[in-house]
Amino acid sequence: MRARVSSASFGGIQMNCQKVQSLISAYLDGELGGQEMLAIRHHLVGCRDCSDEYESLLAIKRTFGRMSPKRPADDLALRIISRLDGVHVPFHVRMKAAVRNYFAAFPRGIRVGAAGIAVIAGLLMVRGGDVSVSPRIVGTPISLSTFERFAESGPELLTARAEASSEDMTIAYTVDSAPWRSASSARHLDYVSRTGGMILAEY
Amino acid sequence: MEFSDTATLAAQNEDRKAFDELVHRCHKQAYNVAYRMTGNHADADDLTQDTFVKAYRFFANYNRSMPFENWLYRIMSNIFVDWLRRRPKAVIRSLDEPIRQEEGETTLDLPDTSEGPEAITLSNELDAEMQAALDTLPEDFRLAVILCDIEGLSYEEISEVMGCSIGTVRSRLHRGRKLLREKLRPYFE
Repeated sequence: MRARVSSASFGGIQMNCQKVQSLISAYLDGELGGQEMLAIRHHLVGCRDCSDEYESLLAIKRTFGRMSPKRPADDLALRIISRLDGVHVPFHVRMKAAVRNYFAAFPRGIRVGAAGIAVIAGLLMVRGGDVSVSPRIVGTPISLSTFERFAESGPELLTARAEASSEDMTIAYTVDSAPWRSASSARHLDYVSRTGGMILAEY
Repeated sequence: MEFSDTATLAAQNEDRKAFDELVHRCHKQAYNVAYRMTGNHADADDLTQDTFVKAYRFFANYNRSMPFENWLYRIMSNIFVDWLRRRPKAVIRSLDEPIRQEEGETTLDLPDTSEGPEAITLSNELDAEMQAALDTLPEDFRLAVILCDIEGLSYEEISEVMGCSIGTVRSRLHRGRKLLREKLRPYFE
């Protein structure tokens, strides 16, 4: 016959089996503190059911903790790094990195203020329409970075088309608005940037 | 070339160098988590690669106050959930089935626990059985168990990785372990 402590108080904390069993994983992970932890410890001493529950979950935790690490193929790191060569980093992410690196040397207070100014300036540059980029007629090639600035400006960019070709592949892609929010357009444009294909934009 | 192009290019080169080092430092650990999430080498390889590629694309968004591995796991779990949505339903494996390994079918070989927990090395067979049990868990529970019991993250770190509260982590872990115990009951009695 198992002893059963239905409810008891320890250090002002009321503990019953239901409450203990709901907290038992956190207890065995050392994620409970102070009186709560002590109250559960006290309860486990006198309750066989909860003590068994604790032991069985502890066994699960320990056994999974002893699983041997699975080792990757020897060349995995090199394959990852070679894939990075073809990765297109979005313009706004590159800009963010540039701003972060530039201001990294300044004290934090100055960094925060300067970063704010940089963000505002960046927004003005993009939202206000990049004055160095004028509307293009259909089929006029523009550079990828210029296209990005168009794309970043949002829905007011009406239509853009990316084209690239290789020995066995031709891509023609049309997007109506906010193309960088579309995974498929980003993928195609990545391809364009890698192959040196052209971006054609129209107003 | 405009100033913004020069600056972003320099930043990208700097980030690339740092990122390559992180790939070398973290890919094995990331692969282990990917394997425990997917349950097989081919998917773990793909998941690890996709995770690093995505992490690189958005490296500028990485908050340096967080361990890089934890940020990586967050990306990995998002990609994995995305995979599950796009892929056909996974085949549910039964623990009653024989364990199939590259060397052929095997039977379960439980470790001798008489020498104490520290001396025990899990056999390949038991590892496969436990992996099969992990595979049957809902992915949220699985990730919580992997991060806590295999990777040794705290509840706070897991909550950051999974984007949920510490209470939710606690609940997922508890329910996940109880499900694992049910699946593996014959071997833990």
